[in-house]
Amino acid sequence: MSRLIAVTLLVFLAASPAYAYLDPGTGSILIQGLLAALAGASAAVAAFWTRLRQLFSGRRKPADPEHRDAPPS
Amino acid sequence: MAGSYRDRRGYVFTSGDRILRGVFPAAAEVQRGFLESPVSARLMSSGQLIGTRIASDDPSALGIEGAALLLEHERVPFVSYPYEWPFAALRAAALLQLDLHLSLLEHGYTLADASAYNVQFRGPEPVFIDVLSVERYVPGAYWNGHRQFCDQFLSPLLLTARLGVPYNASYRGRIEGFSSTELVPLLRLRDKIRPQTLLHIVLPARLEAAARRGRVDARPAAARRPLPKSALRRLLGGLRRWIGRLQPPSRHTDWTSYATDNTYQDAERSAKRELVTRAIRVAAPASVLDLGCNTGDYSAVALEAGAGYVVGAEADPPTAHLAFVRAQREKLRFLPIVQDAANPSPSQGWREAERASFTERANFDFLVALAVEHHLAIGRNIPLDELIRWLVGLAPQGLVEFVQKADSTVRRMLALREDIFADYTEENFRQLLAANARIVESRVVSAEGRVIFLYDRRP
Repeated sequence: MSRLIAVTLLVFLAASPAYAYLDPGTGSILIQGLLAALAGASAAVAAFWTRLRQLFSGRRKPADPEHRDAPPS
Repeated sequence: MAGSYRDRRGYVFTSGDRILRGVFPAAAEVQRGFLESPVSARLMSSGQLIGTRIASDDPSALGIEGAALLLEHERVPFVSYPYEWPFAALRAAALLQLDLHLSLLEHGYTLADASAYNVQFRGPEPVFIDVLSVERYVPGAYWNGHRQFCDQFLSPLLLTARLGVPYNASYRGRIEGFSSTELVPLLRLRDKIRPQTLLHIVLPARLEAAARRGRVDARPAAARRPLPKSALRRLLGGLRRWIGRLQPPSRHTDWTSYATDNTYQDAERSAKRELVTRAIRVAAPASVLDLGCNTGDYSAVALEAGAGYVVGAEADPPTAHLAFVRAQREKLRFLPIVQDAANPSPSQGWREAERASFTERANFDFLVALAVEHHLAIGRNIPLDELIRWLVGLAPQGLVEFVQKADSTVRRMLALREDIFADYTEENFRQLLAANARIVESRVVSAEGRVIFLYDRRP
């Protein structure tokens, strides 16, 4: 994951340095925001992947509890 | 205590020998819950968290106001500050901070900040002392202490590990550590592009610069996107693994090799050992200051002879690092700190009362000052009478070694400079010492005439 961030944000390295800061935590909050976004994105990808696998393996969703619990006739 | 003025959740104060903490109503419930939970008991018994109990004293009898809860803390043998810690100590403190945070997250708690001043040492073992930093974890919350952790632990460690520059002197001056924005321009490109450095130092510094120019805004990001607990754990765990591997550069200073290949003779060493052992056995001191401790040879001897606790003062950071690693390896009740006798830690911070000076904290029973006096008297031009008065003032009893002017070490020190030290003689040293304390014993320990004096200034 850190490698992905590295590639995505190498662009920032070109920016000229700044010696004053806005408030003590801006950079930290932003980087965690980025991690949060990546975590969200990877969760979405994982969910999509699971669905895709289910689709191709031909497995169906678990049976509806009401039907499964139906007494044998 | 002056250092706790900034905390809006409570404050620390002393009452006689006791260290107490008043907790304001807003934080009292969480604190009580935490201290009554099994996780706090476990962290205390493992030594990671300072022993803390809920005190039953009547707050008004102690003259305190506004506290809804009163806590009593165990004491640490000697209070030290991050700017005095050798590399291995700052690294150990950083790892404790991260381990504690990870343990707390398992049980629904988190740490509100990441100040290095929240850690103290018992020998080489770090202990977390600020229970008020423990708060309830809110799912999705960001790590508010990240920036502080980077400034107070990570950046100074990187300054030494990557650039070979000891952080102690500049850390002392800044107190709050090193801002990433100041570290980044110093790092080489190959250091900057390492993933962890990029993540914790370089990118936050760049994003901060971008935010300052109004290109990005931190507020909506923090409000919109929760940080999953698993991501927070990965962040802390990644830092932990990385910092655990950080090492100071391997090149050694003259000092570092001093203990192994100086002019010392084996006979001299064993004479000193024997003298330290005997004096410590008689004095049975609870606390010893080993001034100019080097890698801690005589600190270890003092502990073996029954000293309760030894604080080592060593001016050279790489040597102090080795002494600390030795204390860790041999599990000694020995804390080596970086301290220059000619320029000890001052009282500083807000109103010059936030961090106590070395002298204010120096309350030792016994002084061991071997092979150090000439570095101050000759190396730093400290007048002999002032030096002896200061040394004797450090502890009521002690051992002080006098190094003759004809000694090869002193000759080397004077080789390239004028000898302005006419009064630097054994006789003068003895007279000045006798004017400040009783000389119990004096003994020649080397072929070059080095003399160790045992003094006692108690009535």
